[in-house]
Amino acid sequence: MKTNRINWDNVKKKLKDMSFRIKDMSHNEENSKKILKKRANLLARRTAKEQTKSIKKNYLLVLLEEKKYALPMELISEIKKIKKYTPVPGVPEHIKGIMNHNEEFYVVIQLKRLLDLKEENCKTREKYYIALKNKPICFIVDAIEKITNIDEKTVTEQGSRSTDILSKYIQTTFQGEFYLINIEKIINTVTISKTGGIQ
Amino acid sequence: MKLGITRKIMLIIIIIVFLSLVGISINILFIQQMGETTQKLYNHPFTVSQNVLLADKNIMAMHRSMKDVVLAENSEEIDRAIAAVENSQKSTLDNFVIIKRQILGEEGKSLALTAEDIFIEWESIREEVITLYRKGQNKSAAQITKGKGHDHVVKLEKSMNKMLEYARSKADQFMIDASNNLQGTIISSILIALATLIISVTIGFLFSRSLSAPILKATQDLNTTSAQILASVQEQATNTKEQATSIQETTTTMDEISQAGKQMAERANQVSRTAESGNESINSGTQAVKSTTDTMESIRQQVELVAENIVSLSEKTMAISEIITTVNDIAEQSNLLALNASIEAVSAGEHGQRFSVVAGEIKNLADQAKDSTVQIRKILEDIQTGINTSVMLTEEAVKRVETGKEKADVALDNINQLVGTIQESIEAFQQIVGATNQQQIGLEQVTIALNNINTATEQTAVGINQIEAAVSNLNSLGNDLQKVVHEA
Repeated sequence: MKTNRINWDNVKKKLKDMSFRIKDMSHNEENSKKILKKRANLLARRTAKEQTKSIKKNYLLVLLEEKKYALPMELISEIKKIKKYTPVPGVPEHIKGIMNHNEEFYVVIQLKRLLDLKEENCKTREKYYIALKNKPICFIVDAIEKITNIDEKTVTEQGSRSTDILSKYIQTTFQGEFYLINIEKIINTVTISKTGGIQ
Repeated sequence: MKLGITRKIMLIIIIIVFLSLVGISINILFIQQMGETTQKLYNHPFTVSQNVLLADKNIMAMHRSMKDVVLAENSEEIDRAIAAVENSQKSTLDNFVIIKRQILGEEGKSLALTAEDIFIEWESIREEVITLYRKGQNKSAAQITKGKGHDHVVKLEKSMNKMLEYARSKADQFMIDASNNLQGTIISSILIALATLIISVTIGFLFSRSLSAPILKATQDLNTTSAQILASVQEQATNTKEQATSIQETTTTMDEISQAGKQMAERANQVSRTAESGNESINSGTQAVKSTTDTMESIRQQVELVAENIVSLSEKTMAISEIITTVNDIAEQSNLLALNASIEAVSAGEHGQRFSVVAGEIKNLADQAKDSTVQIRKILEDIQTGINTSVMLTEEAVKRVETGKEKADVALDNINQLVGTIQESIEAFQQIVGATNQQQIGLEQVTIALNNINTATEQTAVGINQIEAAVSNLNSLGNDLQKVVHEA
């Protein structure tokens, strides 16, 4: 029978190296200062460079069923982890209910349903909600991808020619990477009466 | 049920005595009946006849006395005659009392009473005669005496005769009965005697047969047995000769065995010495196996220690995993904070641009931290897999060490058993040596014994000849006995 002999010297050497590396990784004030200084210099250079460029608009990229959608940052009030909401009867399917956000009632809109993504085809769950400014509406999304800058000149209206539901709320598509959602149109679909009724 | 001869004889005697007793009892019964008949004869007809005759005699005396009364010449003769009449009357009445008591049958009783009545009636006639005579009327008295008195006496005589006849007839009947009894006694005695004779003869015949048959068989068996004994004795005589020859051969063989025994003792000594040296080797082997067992135990303890350390490492890995989860949560929250900070920066417009950059960097850091946590989690999973594998390997090592230890223990036990066996072998060989020596002594004694047997065999041959003669005599005796039984 073949027996594998252990090279104990090699094992000891590896353990010693690992021990040193772990020590290096431990918290060190001097080390932290070095890293922060390096990162500050990098940031300073990048900001100056960006100022020379044309005016760009910030968009928040979110994920819905592993596809990226962009939401204009200026309309967003806050992003939070999803919490319990109260279903409301007699409302369209994409309105999931209402929730308490910063001591105010917000209407919860499921973007997946609104964009006609069938619930039975959905593989991921919404983990975050995005609260809007000026309107008590929030969207629930799977994940937050990142914040991105888009040149305003490149943003063109798709118009309302298409009868397709997806096309109805999509403003434009950027190089096939993500869709820009037309929030204004979505907001217009929701009517909140003074008595608190939702349609 | 089989009975012995003595019991059979006793049984036959008892049967014969019993039969005799039965016969005697029957005869005694008949004789008793005869005695009773004789007694009756004496008590009844004889007594009655005697008293009737006495009464008759008294009546005759009374009648004569009454004549004397009639013929009397003076008062003295009358008184004397009357006294004689009264005496006779008294005797007659006594006779009648006995007759009435002893006479048998209703007829007899009636006859006795009739006769007594007639006798009593006669008294009035007699008194009339006496009265007339005393009055001096002699002729009238004589006429009454001759006439009415005489007739009454005749009537009384007839009645007495009837009674006598009756008694005689009874006596005849008793006589006939007695004769019949006597005849019956004689016949029964003859019959009982004949029956006893026949039964005794039959039993005697059967008994003699039952006695002679086993004796005959015994004599036949005796003949057969004596013939067999004779044959056996003759065969034994032949065997004794062969035995003598065999003893000679055995003596020679014993010498050879003695030589072989000596050689065997020497070989056993050699083997014993070899086994002792082997025992020493096994002792050193035992020490080595014990040492191996101890080492195995030490390895097992070490491996268990390693296993404990691995488990401890696993627990620490779990703790790291929990920390990583916390770090991941923090990263996510940082990410959210960065995003919200970016939103605020956008709201701030131009003034928030720098803040937006910082928020973006914080977000990047949070993302990097999250990615790092994912990588760390992956590494931790690999470590955990490695630990699991190590635990399994350690467990396997412990099992193998335990198996090795068990095998070493088994080997030790086997060696111990081997040592025991070798020790027993040494002892056995030593016993063989001792036994062989004893065997030598025994063989010498056997040789002496064989010589003695040889001598005894010669004597046995002589004895067998004598037995042969005795058995021949016994055979003749059996034949004689058989003849006697046949003739009997």
